[in-house]
Amino acid sequence: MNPIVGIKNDTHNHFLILNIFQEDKSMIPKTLFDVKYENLKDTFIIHNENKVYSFIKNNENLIKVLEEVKPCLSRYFHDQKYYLEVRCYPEIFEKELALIIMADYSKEDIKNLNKKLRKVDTEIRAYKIELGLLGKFYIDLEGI
Amino acid sequence: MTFDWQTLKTVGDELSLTDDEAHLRSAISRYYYAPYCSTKYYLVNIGHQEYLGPKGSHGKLQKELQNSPDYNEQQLGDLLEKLFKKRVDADYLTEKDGKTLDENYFENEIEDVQTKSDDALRLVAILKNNPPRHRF
Repeated sequence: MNPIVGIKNDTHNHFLILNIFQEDKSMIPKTLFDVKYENLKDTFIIHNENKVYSFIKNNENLIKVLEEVKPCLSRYFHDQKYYLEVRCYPEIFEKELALIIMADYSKEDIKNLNKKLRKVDTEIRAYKIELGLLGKFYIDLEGI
Repeated sequence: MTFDWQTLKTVGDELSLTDDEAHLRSAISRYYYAPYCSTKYYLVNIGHQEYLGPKGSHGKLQKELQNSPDYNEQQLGDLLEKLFKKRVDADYLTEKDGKTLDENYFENEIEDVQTKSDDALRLVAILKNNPPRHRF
């Protein structure tokens, strides 16, 4: 038999009954964070999901900046695919979320791609600073 | 006469002409250090001796420039941040997230790194000629 979890709320004198089927995780209510995180997958390929999930979970402002960057990416890099990855660099030793734009250098001039990347950086800079994300998040190009 | 750090870029250009992994990795490293050292000494030469010490270390320098009220300094900070990461890949890594960092990988990356290094050096030159007011 599937377990039934009952949470009694004495103040309002009603029961909130959640049927949580152990075999079916889709029945577990999702948090707002999880919904937003899942939505990222519509735009980004995620490399090494466990690492990315926990890094974003620990730095929840990243969700806000990623939502902000989405329209910029579709404006300047609509033909490209993008991936998210957590990286840790020697000499700095701090983890960072990298948003990598996969570009085909044989199809588009690298100078032009860098020019567009500068525009994206400029558009999100104030937001990134305000959310305290300098050194925690960056965007770059990578050839395919 | 003080050393012109920009000449490291020329060394990078020479190294990049030889298509083997060691030369390409070394070229990427020079392409980073040319603007990084030029930036440090741009700041030192306008009276900011503190940038010779730990304040001038890679991450701190990047963040300070990105936080600057001056647009050129902000852009320079962004470029140094990206070039630093490409340099770390070239100096330390043989594999990254399942991808092999070999001759083909660096061959594909070299023009991008070259472009970023050129752009960063151009910004340093502008800043040297016309340092922003907040630096004084």
